[in-house]
Amino acid sequence: MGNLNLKQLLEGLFKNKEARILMVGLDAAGKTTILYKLKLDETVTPVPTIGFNVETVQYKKITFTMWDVGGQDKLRLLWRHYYANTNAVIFVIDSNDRDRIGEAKDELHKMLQDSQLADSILLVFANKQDLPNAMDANDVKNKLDLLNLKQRTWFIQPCCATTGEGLFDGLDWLASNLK
Amino acid sequence: MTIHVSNKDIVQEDFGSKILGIKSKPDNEVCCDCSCGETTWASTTFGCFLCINCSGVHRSLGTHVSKVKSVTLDSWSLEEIRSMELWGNKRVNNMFESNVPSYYTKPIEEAPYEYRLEYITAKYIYQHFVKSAMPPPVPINTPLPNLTGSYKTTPKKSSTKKASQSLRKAEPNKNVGQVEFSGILNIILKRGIDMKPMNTTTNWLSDPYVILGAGPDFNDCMNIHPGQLSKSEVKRKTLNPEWNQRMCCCICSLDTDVIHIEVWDYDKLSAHEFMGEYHLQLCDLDILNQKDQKVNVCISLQSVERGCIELEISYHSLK
Repeated sequence: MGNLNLKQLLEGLFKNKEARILMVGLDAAGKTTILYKLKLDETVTPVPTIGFNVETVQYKKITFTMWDVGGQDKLRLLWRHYYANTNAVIFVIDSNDRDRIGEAKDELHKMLQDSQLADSILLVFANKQDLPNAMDANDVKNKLDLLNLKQRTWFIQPCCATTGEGLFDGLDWLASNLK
Repeated sequence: MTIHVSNKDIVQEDFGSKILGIKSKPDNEVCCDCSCGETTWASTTFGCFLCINCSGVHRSLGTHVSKVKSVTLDSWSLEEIRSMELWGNKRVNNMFESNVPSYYTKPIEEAPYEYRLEYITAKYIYQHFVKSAMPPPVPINTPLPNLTGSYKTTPKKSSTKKASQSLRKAEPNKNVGQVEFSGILNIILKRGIDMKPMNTTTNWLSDPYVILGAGPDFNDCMNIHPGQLSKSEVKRKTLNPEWNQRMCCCICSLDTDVIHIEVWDYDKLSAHEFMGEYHLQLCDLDILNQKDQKVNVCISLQSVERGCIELEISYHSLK
């Protein structure tokens, strides 16, 4: 009994910090795959997300509450409902989809103009690095015009959601940059 | 009040009805790859209409193989519409399934992901079923021909756990990312009224918080739709907490889905204590008929002596 209470005392003392994360991006960028790779360390093969998924992920003493919101054209109108109190935005890019990188850039900059996101930091996952024709992180950075985001703390992380490569590097950056 | 509609919107709206028109041709009402009767998705690369499960497989192959769009949730360009009109499921299958060997049976609606993937890869990437192609290798994941159409489906586990006191331990179920939601419930957790005092050794108050989850089964609150479990803030030292917090969740059906609600007393050092529960059957709310209308609900918590919760619920359909 004594041991149990000490353990609980310890947990109470080192209580996790909490962070609210909004994960968006165009459809089929790999948002749901990233979410469940982080949550369950399983590679799921999701059908398109109609609506959203929310899960908590514990990492480095931080409880990340991650909202993964569907990316189809008409669902993007819903994104703004999730902006309030967001500590960080994860914007997921399909690095293999060269045709729509411009569309992704427009959506990203449009979203970041919203005053509710003024204090949120930005992590860009350049996903699908395993595919043959994928743009590298530097290329994605330029095409998204990230250098023009003057007031924003941002970082771009190449990754592959199906293997998990790069995902925790992204969370590392979030953990050390969240206020 | 003037309603401003830009030209672009009008043009897109016309395209939207155009694509629905093409989809409603009989051949396009049956999934091009698994023949099920739901085709709200499409591959613009091949010009075929698909169900959501097959569209998931197409997406996983990458946009360099197949570009996937929703018929209802995406906007369409004129070019894409023309290609859908030009091809369509009949013509696509006349070409890509002109020569399917007997040992390659077409996936059915319940086909597992692995076989769907194998069939779709053979059909579009290797183009094994195109006439004059070499005979394709025998698939690995397919049932033998005499078992056609009898895929093993794992029976749903019946949970023996007691409904109460378990939402805190509910885990996402196995089919994560595989659920097609019909809409979003916007739930505003307004306040709690006259709740049970839990800190009986000190101040006779509580530190309540609410856990809320959407699921298909009234009697099994461990069965939560993947990703649809959320927790409210903890309100300190009160029996009448004011939350005014938005806690939404996605649901599959307004007719059968249930919102499971549990209230817990937060404690930093010891186990959290149970303060009541409620299982809200959505069909009782009658919000299906009142689109975009807000419904105020005041529920008396069960499995506890006292306490009410006030909620405001509205429904946003995604279809």
